[in-house]
Amino acid sequence: MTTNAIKRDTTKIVTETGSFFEEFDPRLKLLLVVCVSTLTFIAPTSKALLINYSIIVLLYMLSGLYRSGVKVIIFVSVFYTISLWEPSGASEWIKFALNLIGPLAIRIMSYFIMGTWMAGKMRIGDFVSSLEQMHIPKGIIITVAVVFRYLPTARDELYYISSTMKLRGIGISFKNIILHPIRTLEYSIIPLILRCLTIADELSVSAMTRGLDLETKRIPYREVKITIQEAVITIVILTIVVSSRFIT
Amino acid sequence: MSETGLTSKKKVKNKGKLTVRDYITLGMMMILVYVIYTIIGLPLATTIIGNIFLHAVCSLLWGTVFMLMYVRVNKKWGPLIFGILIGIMQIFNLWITAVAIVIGAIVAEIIWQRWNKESFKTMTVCFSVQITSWYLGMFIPLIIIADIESIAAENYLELFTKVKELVVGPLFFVGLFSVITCTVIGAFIGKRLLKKHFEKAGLI
Repeated sequence: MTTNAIKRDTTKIVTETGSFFEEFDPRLKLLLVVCVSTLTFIAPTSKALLINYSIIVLLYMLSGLYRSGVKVIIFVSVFYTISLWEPSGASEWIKFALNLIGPLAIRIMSYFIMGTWMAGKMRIGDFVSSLEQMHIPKGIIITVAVVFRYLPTARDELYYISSTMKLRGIGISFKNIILHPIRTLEYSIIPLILRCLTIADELSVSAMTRGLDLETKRIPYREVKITIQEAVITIVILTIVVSSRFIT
Repeated sequence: MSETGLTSKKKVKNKGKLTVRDYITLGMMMILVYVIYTIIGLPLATTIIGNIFLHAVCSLLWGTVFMLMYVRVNKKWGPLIFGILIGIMQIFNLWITAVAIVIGAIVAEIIWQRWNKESFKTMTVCFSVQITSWYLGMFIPLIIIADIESIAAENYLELFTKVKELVVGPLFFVGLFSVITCTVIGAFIGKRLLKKHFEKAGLI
């Protein structure tokens, strides 16, 4: 009886499938993250920047991350408006800063946004297996996997910490940073580091349970391979993003 | 009995080797460095003067993260891997900076291996070397290379040109001095905070 139950559970794990983008090969996802975010960062014109962000939003929507997709649209709209804003009577320095802050924020955030997209619907087991197939050193695989896995959690942790600080009257506000800089920073950074350490320990235990520290070759539950469909979609996206650089 | 001997030999052999726990800790610390860089560095990077003092200001907070990293991953190759990860983060901005960060990490790793790893002095020097190399990698190319277009992303050409105008002169040395001073202060802040919060909690 017990054996049958275990057998059923194992079968469930092996055959479990998600949406197309959930099943998308992690190597191609990583390639998209690196290429799309880098090309967005160095986008020569506003048109190219907006085309790249349209692709990013489309990727969010196709992956079923609708809420996050809407947040990306709002973020880009706000900072793009700031970059176009030229307040009358403002000094050259203020105009320069405004012109710089919008595009800079949009460009730098492209790494976070694409990283969040990748981490949003990715199975870490698949990611580790696919990188192992590429013979990348284990140390780099684990560190990169941790960075991707923890990125969305870091954002949530910061939100919880700032909410708790606000509740206790020591929120991260301009007034508190000016009046009590050391105290404000100590109360915001220390809980984050503490949470990081706790999560690092939990992840270490989890990694050991999964046999990540073994010298022998791991056999994954799920087969990870690049399909023709996935390769074609990746090529199409990269072609659009690269050719956006040449649109004037 | 012989098995116990083998086990202990293996333990001694693996004592200085990085384990999965260390890699995970390095990944976590990397995210913290990135979070601080984004929260503090991004607003500062929008002004010219802010760019020069960005590393100095961030060092005050990075001190705690770096000290914790050195304490938790008190083994060979820790500073080097950490430096390479920071270098990867910077490669898309100004690629020469990434090279300088990796060179700084190699120097820090040599110091780390030659000196006493458990000493606060070694940790402070390694931290200072890593951040100073980041600063130098950011500004020395601007000073010595006349053609900035060849090294900077085209969107930041205007910014880098304005920074160059300011940084060629005594302000560069003021920035360098502030980075070295702030890394030392940051290390002391880190030491104090680690004692106050982490040592008592038994986390280090």
